[in-house]
Amino acid sequence: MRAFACLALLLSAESVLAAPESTRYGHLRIETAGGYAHTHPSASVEHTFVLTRGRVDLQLGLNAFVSTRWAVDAVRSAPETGYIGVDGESILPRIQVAEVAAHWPTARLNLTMGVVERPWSSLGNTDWGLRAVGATLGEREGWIDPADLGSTLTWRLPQALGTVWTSVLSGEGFKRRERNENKTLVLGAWLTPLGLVSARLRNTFNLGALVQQGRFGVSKGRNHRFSFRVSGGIPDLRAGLEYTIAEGIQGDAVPEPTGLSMWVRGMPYGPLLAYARLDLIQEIPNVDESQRTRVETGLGLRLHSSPESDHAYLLVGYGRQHAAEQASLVAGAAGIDQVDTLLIQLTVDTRQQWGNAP
Amino acid sequence: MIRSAYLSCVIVSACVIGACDQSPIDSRKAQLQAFLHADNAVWITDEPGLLAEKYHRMAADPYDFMRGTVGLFYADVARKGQLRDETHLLQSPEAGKVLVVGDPHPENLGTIRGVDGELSLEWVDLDAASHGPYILDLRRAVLGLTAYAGEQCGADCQIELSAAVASSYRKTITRWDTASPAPGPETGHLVQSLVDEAREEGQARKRLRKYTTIEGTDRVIELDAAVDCEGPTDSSMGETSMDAVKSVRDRQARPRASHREHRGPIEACGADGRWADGRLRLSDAEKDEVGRLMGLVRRKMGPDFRVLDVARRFGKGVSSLPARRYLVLWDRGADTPNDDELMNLRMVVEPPFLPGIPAGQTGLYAGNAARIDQISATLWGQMDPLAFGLNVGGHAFKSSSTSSWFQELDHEKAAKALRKMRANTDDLVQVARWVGHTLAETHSRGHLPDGRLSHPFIKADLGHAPEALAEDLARWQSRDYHQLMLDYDHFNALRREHGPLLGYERLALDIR
Repeated sequence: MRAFACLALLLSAESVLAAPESTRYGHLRIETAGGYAHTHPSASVEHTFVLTRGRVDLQLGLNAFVSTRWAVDAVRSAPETGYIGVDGESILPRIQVAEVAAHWPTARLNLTMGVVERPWSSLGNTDWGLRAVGATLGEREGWIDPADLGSTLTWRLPQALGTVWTSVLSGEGFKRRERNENKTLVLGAWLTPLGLVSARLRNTFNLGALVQQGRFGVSKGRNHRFSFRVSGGIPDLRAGLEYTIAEGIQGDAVPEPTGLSMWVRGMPYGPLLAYARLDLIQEIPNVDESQRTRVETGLGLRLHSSPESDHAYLLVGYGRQHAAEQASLVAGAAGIDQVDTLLIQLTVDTRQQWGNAP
Repeated sequence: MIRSAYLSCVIVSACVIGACDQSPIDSRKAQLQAFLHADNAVWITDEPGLLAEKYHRMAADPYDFMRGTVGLFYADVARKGQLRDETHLLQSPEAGKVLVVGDPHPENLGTIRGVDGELSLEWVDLDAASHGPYILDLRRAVLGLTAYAGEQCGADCQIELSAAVASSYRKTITRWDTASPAPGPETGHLVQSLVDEAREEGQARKRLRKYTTIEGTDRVIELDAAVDCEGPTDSSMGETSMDAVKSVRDRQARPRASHREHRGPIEACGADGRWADGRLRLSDAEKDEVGRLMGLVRRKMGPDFRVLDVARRFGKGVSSLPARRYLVLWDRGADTPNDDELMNLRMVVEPPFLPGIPAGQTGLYAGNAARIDQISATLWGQMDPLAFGLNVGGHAFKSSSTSSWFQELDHEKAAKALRKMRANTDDLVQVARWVGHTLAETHSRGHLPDGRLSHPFIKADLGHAPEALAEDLARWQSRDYHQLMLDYDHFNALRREHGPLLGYERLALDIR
């Protein structure tokens, strides 16, 4: 805490002394994905229309030193396990990110506080590029929340070599309030070593690592994470791999699942988009019968693309999830261990920027 | 290699800061504490005192602890972090999404008197009903039966119970036909006593007489001055914050304002310090809620439906003890009290998550009230004429008859009958057969989410492995009952360590 206080002092001194001349700037991103899903077998409705992504992300910079950011996503007010919602079961906007950032440009430091985005999730989703199809492994399994109440200090390495960060978080994620005195500590790094060779090659090869130590809930169950990620490729063909170890899930200290995720996506021919992803989750260490497999593949048609990273595409995807005996929700139940999903999805991901961000 | 290095790192750093990871016992206590907090979060802000009373009741009796932890039971079934007993059934997806009772413990098996005056044995509380694997209903029923039989049923007797449930269920499923339902097993002392009690007390209108009194020419509900016991402040729980509990007590401790409030507070308490069946005057907010509920009931009952008196009811149930309950005295407009009847209104919360196909279980009903309404109409052989699902102010309520015609099995009565040799283990086995039989009938009446009847899929699934049901149930019985008793001890330890709300007092106050 003392370190944060010193940093805040430095930031405020620089912002005053530097006599801010930069004008305001802003960045808006809207992601929307709606579609049709056929899931078999389903415990409820097999044919459904779905809103797989609905998110508005707005960042406003007051000057080179201070900015604020809000991200709101769409969420069904009644949970999947029940009916009690708002005005029926309406889809509501939910605050996912509400952070204030102080920037220290000369030192390449950023300090965020509030409901802060977790860089591990956002960097991973950007790299994978198909968030509307599914989040990256840790977020999808509920092991790593995309945001949390707390603070993150980020340092951009010299020569665009990447980013390292440390966070102190509530540990409960952005959906729950603080339930214990223990805070979650996170160390993360995202390295782009080929940036040393050329700025053009910067995203050709990426390496990332995350270590988290925390406690969750009233019972202070351990909530530790270790994750490693490698990705790379050329703009039209990218691939990645992620391995995550989780110790303790949602306050339950016992589970120690691990997950391996591999993906490849690209534009093999003209406006065609193709992707494939394999997630392997081991629910109990060294028990083969506790493995869950998720395979997803799809083909899409790009409807729009621009240098400003606007994307619009129509895709048809297929997914199969299979659980071994000990990974099924009812152990050994062969009839309910496999789910197939067909998805037809229309997605728009658009960004608008104004002013000159530092 | 990476994992080992990381684990060493975490263990060393955790031990350095004095936070070594928990022992298995502490882990289970933490699982229990975390689950109960999540499962009861809905009561924390509105009814912390009643939640403390619920925990108090659960702590006093393993059977009541089992009743209050249905969600934990299903969470444990689905808990993937540790090795679990595997089933040899559920070979088809359809067998994993039939309409199930959710919480079929013996005290949920009771008599319903239908509109034609006939009595039938049904699973009376369908709060936990949902679509899921049929064998989980049987697994839960066997655990409930084992707890119902208690210490007077040894290992051999327990095995007999699970075998009786399995054979009775299979037999009824095999014979069941929509046109001619299978005949029930022999009654035995415990089931026969239940039916006899319903007939005798129903004809005598015992419950109406117990809860009401005649004042002049009118019948009114007999009220208590206050519902207050020393239960939740049990000194064995140590010095813990009771602010949350006290605030509710203060609200409930109203001055005597009516000549009808002639029962003293002590009468509302059981001999063991538990809150018993208490009735209080309505607050203004409660009057408003009841007014809207009655408007909905009147639409279903017709224009001659007349409300004579209403009271807030406390101390009933276990899992749903903190839910708002109202006792309504009503009639059809006659001048004499002969047509007076009682109706119960109770708030209903979400059903527990039933593990099954990982694709969500909701969306089938228009809401929680509709779920209760439609599922009871589907699963009951006889309809309680006052059973409706009602929705007011975003809360779901259900109405039901409060009459002596409606009786449920009671584990304390069974224990007493066994102690006094009026019943024996054969009678417990007969209860087990009825449990298996009524579950089979109930499941057979139900349907899949797509509308197809459940029965052919259950029958086919049981046909795949004829002995699997008995084997699965016997194996689960031993493990589940052992875990229940361990958890019961852990729960009592948690109450001693963390207080009447298991450590949630501070958070409950934060909300305000």
